[in-house]
Amino acid sequence: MLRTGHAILAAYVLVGVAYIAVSVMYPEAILSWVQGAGVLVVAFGILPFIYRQLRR
Amino acid sequence: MSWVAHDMEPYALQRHLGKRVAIIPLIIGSYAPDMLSKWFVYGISVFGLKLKADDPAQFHRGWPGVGFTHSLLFGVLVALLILLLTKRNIWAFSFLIGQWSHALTDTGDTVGTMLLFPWTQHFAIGAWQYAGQTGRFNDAGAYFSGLGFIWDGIWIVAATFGWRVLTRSYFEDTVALGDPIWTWGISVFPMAVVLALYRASYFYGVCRWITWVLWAHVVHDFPMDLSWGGPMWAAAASASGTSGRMVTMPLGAGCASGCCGGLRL
Repeated sequence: MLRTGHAILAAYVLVGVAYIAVSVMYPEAILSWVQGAGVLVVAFGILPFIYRQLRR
Repeated sequence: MSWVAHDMEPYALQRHLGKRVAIIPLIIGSYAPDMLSKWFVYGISVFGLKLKADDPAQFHRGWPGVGFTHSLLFGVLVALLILLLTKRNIWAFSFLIGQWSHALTDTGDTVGTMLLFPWTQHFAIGAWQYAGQTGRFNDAGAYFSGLGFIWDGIWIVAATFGWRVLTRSYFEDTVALGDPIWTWGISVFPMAVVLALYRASYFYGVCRWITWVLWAHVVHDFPMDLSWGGPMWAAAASASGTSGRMVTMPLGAGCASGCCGGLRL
């Protein structure tokens, strides 16, 4: 089992890889600070919230 | 100009200064010199109307222009304004440190900054070429093909060596403690979201460094040139005037990705 810290790091790496993959193809549309922060908020705030709601 | 360095500097400074700085004004200070001017340097299209400075390097770094935003005095004046409005020494000091780090870092290119404005002498180390006048994509291609790419990499390593700064325990014990903005944030949003926002500049910086390197050298074929003042295929702008265009444009015929929109000079 991954320790919590390692699991969170792995999650950030996964989100980063996805963000980079899209940004390489569409740098004008995607690559900005606001969208970078937005990706993190979606990944670590909104998606977990939706997941919790759906599991209820 | 520097790219990722401005994302990383706040975390490297946070590591060394601990509770003596506040990360939000530190980050704002680090971005401040370019915050309101970069779009006009690269140019944008609004309803078919192209808005761009006639002489981007002069506008960005010179006088007349907004080059004073890259001076030490500008940092002092804005910090004094922050102090006057908020009465918080730490916010003013943090902004000052962030803005000064940006102004000093940007001396690395061929245009440099007017550090001692109103004295308009440019301080330029000239390690990599300033190519802001060529637009965002060609600027990225030039920057990530010269020593700027190495410079940013050093800042990523420096910030990453201080990885503890990015941990939850450091955030709770050092960053959030006593800062009303974070206290409010924690009371309103889940901790995971607050931490994500705290780490956002680091995340964005690393991602865009990797992205632009891949974009410039895998998707496109910008020639790498790590010589001092390179890449030599890009015509440098200098404090005494800009050539206004690149000599050789790797984004020429054969670029099929479409992401650059056929951007050529």
